[in-house]
Amino acid sequence: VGALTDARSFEAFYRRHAQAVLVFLTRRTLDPELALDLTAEVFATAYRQRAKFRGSTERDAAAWVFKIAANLHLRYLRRGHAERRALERLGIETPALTESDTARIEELAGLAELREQVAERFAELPAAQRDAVALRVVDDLSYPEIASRLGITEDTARARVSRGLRMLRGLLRPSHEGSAR
Amino acid sequence: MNEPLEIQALEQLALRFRALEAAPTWRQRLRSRPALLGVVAALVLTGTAGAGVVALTEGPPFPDAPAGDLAPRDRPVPGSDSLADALAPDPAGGPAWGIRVSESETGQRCMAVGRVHDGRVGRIENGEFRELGRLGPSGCQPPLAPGQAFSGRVSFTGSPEPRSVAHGFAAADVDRIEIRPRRAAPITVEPSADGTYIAVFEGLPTLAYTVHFDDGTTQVLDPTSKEPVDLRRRR
Repeated sequence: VGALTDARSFEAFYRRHAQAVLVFLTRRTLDPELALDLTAEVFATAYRQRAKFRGSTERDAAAWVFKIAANLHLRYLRRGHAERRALERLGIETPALTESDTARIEELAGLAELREQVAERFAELPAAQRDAVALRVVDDLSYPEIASRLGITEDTARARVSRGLRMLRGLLRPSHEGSAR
Repeated sequence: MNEPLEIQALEQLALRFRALEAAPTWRQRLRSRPALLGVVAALVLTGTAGAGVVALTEGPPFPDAPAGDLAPRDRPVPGSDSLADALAPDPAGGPAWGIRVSESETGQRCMAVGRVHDGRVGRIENGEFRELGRLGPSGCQPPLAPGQAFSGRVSFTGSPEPRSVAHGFAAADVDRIEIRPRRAAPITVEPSADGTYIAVFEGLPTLAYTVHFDDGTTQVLDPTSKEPVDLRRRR
């Protein structure tokens, strides 16, 4: 791993971990296309920051790149769009997904089963949380809009969405996390 | 040689990271190897450069990928391959780009793109032509279905300089296909007699397609839009 510092070994590093990161992000976003965008940004970020990597083992490197993935996913949740800063700096455009790619990613991430489980768990949420989560995630409304729609304060809206997502989150932990190709 | 990643988009991204290695430009190479300047000057003076005549030596062919690593749909049948009619120039000159077409064990149509030399498809590395292996470099898709306008793939190569090669098959009623990189001039190709088309772009841009049909209608496929991203479409 010593050498993430040159592009060729970075490519080898990418090849070892890209699919696992993609699966990790697909299970968190339930959206292969979005997950690919995030995966591309994860590795572009890693490429730009590779000189700062202080680990010495493959395990360190994997942990480092998954940390970047988790951070970028968190930022996506906060901002509502996938960041592309590192990709733009490197001049890299994310490739388009083909139908067969999408199907294979969904298969690798166990997305069909996961979606069913999320739907079941979602239906079991208390009605107040379910409505708040649906307005935030499905309708993509802001917290002030959710508050207005439900006749509650913005803080309450945030709390309901947060609790609802927390209850769903356990399902979105990837079973393939950390595995290579 | 790296084994391709299973997810095609991830493989394309791998090649984009490889391209960051920044293969030196022709200008840099010429500066670092003065002897080449003399060769270029001689080619220009004799007019052979303009004629696209490049002295290539024969290098070792690329090895096949292990057959067991490929699904039957991605394994070309031995002897089924031929050079497609469509050819495209490289922006820096030299041998044209072409498509080796073959049929997979399950009847898919497989395409492998590369530089054409003596009727074979390969890569050029350090002045050597290396023929592509039969197994591994091809992408296989179903033949065009009735009503399907065209099929498209984009292959990326980072060596010696990054190139995006758009290629595929078009239906008989396709007049021409305009392929547009995001920040560069489009290339318009007419399908060849066997239905193949190919266009080569510098760098690794995202490409949008406008298909012009014989009846004057058009269809736009823009992978950067919110529309579905697969390049295969039914009219």
